[in-house]
Amino acid sequence: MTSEDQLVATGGRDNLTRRSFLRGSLGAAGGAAALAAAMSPLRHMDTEDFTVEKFLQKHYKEMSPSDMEAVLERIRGEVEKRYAIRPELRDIKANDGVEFAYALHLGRCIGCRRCVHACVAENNTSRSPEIQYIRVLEMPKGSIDLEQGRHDYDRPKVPDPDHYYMPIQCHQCANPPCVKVCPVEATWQEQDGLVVIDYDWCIGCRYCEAACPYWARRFNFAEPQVPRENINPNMAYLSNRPRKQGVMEKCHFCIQRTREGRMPACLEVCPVGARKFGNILDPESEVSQILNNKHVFVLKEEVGTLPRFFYYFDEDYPRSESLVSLPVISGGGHA
Amino acid sequence: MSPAHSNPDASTRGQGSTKSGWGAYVVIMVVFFGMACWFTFGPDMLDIPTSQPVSVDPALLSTAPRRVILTDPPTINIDGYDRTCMDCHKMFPLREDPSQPLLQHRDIVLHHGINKECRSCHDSKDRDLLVLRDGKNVRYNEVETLCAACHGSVYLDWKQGAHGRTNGYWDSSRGEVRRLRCTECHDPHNPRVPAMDSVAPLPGPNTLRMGKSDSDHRIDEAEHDDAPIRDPLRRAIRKHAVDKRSRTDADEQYDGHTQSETGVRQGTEKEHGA
Amino acid sequence: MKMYLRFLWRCFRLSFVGDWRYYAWMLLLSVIVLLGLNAYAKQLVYGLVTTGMTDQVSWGLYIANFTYLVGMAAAAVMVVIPVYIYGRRELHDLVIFGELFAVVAIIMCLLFVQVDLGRPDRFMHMLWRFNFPVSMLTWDVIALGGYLLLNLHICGYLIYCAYRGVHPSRRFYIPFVFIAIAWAISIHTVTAFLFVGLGGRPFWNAAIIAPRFLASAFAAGPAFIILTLQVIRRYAGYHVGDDALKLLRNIVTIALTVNMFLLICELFTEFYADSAHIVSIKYLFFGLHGHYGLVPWIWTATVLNSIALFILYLPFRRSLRFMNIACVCMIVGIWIEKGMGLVVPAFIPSPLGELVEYQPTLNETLVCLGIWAFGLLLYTIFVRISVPVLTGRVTADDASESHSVPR
Repeated sequence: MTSEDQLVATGGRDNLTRRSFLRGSLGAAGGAAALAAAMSPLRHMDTEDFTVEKFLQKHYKEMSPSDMEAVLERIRGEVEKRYAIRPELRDIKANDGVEFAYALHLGRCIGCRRCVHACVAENNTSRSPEIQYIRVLEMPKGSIDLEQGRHDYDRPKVPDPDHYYMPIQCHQCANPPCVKVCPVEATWQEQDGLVVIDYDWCIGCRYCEAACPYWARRFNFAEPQVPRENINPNMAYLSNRPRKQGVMEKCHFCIQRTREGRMPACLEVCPVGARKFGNILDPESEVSQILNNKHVFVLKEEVGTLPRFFYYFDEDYPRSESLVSLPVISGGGHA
Repeated sequence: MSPAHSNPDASTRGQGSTKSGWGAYVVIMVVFFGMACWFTFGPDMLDIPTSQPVSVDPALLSTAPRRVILTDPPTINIDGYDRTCMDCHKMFPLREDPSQPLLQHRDIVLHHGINKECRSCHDSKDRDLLVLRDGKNVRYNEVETLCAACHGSVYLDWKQGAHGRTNGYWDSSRGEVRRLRCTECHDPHNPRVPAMDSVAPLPGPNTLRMGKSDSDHRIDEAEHDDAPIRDPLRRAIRKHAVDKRSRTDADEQYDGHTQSETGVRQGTEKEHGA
Repeated sequence: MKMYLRFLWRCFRLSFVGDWRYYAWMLLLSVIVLLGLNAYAKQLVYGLVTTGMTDQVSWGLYIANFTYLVGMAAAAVMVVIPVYIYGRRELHDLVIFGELFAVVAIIMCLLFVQVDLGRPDRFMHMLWRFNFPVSMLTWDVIALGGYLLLNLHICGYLIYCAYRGVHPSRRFYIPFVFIAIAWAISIHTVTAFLFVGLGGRPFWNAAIIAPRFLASAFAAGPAFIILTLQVIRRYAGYHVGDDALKLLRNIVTIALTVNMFLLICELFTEFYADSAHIVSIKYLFFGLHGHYGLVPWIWTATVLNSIALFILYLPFRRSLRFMNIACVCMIVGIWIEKGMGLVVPAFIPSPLGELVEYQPTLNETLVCLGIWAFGLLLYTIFVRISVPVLTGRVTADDASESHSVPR
């Protein structure tokens, strides 16, 4: 560094040093070239996803209304650019005096999977690779051991008389293990009981996915693909706005609908009315009535997650002539 | 600390003086530049599973009720005029013997428990009205009252919201809570919802690298069908299912048998309801 | 300050100097690192779809290696404890290599976590909203970061003192050594808690995981150090006494015995009770519904560990060669046990009973190899620097004098 050093170092051996310097720089050049070439795939990277603005975007809970409006406007622009449609994107806050609950009539579900596809259509989830929030299990009668269930049943007709069907989606637990484990608070429970994700905050560590006992969370392993013509423009920040590669997502009971008083998409499409949704704080609501009057159970109660998603069945009458149409856990409610 | 103007210390000089050959450097250079070329022009060894985006027919995702509910009174458009039942039935008397074949309404298949006759539900005097067992009339727009006469518990469930579907809004202050009525799902003449019997399921999960994993599971399960079951409860259920299947296969007329069974049960329910 | 910068500069220069074997080794490692870097660049572009991970098996080789390396890092204390707690002098001069090993292992751990993230660009969200103390991952970040700093301090201080020819002041490192001992145990415990705390995964949700982690780490880590010490002795000309190796061998023997004992406890509890919780372990050891993906792995691990244990308890363990065989068996065996045997099976079947197997892809494997090569590269450089410094062949005094480095 200093001239003195230089002098001492090179004294009398100018040639040799120059040669070794040459070699050193050649080696360095080779290394640099290899390094640059090794990182060359990065040129395919979507640079728009790495802007200063996005880097500095605050956590959902720390954003002021004006911050939020700026972010929403930016997302609207992105959606418009990519899908050629101006989305009706907004941030919908939880309503006071509302706590959502879901009830599903196990004896009624026929396993037609319409809910799955309605959900995909409503929530702009990736078509390739496929992401589906709802998984319908075909369970043999007489068991609630999920391991007995089949996920990819493909019968010409459903329901199969020897099976019953159990759709599973996010249970919006009151004691959510996924929220507990998130290292960056990218997922949390809202006042109305919904567990939501800030897709712009998630770092994609997938710890929540490992923690969820209901396998309700999905990860965007690749850039999600949604056909332009299939995009649902009714969007909310915490729910169905388009996600990016590398973040988690999951069922949120259709925030963009339910926080404005409407029913979730999976419920409205159910051909047999097996799905029930409402405000559990309202004693007159359908779900409250069901919890009061029906045989209700929750999945994996022993894990202590306190789900807001309940399965129920009738006490007095079976769905069809079959004497064992209901799962046996009803405790003898049927013949 | 500029690396360009290196100040080789003791060790470097030691190295430099002993190794005179360029060999090592050439090897290093060749390797590095070779790698650079390979990265740039070499094969792409990625194994990324791809799938075709699945499109679902939007018609399959319709949220419209299964059936179009009748108006009150029911009308039918004939030659551009809306006609009620009584427009015709003023002239046509009631068929006295229910065993005689129908001349009109032959498209109606009556499969509703012990209700073997039109007048079980339709008022034989005023066809624009329905009738309860005790002779009270019920309008078409309150058909659930008629259903409730036999299906008391279902009716209670429906009123509470446990039975049937509710479309629209859960919050009545913001929009219509549209609870579907009995006949929007059930055909009153054949009330079993067809969907419960036969609907093709929409495509199953084909998520990332799902592959064939679960179809193996299926084979496994199929084998299980004959395998002895350890669990006594499951064994009993399997036996029942097998019995039921063989009965259904053997007897095509089984349906009628079932109807009477249901009829008996509904009879009991009726007592509850009344 | 200038002196310190100069020290760093000389370290940098020193790391480029060596004989042909050194160059060949470093070149090999560089090539693998570049391959890994290339693979990671692809992963960044295309997403984690380039790995074998799925929504069903959402953690794979990366987290497996991370877990294993946390253990390796923690195992450095097995070199430290005998010296500073039991006063065994034979290991005294080797402590530094243990600590350096810990530094490298932690750096590799952090890299493995980094490559596992879907959005590594958002890593700084950790600083802005840190879900401490609720999330065990934040504990792990603190534990790993702290351990890295502690060991960097201890190593850096000792080496720099040797460079200046000053006797290290005990005040500046002894307290840190003791903190590091406790910290080392805690890093692996916290990492175990990462898994243990998940009620939805019965395979992990067992108290025995943390002690097993420690036991296996204290076997594999010192085993690795035994091997590296022999390499150092052979190629770097640093004196490593056989006594030291024997002491480490004894530690390894005990740790491996405890590990095997805990394994038997675990197997008994699971299989005798025969409850629904055993599906994962059943899949691991015997396969389930025609899926046998992990069976060869776990049996390889079990056999390797048994061979190691067998060798270590027989008289011919005194032979260095047999001891080295045992060490290699153990390192590989425990690596499988941690990765394919602990991280992956908890995901199979999924919480909804779905059987999706995990098969690492080439790209993923290259990233892992790249990180391992990078770690070895770092460790080689560290050793390359510290040996001449510690033996007094490179000191502050000779900075301006001609001095040849022995090879």
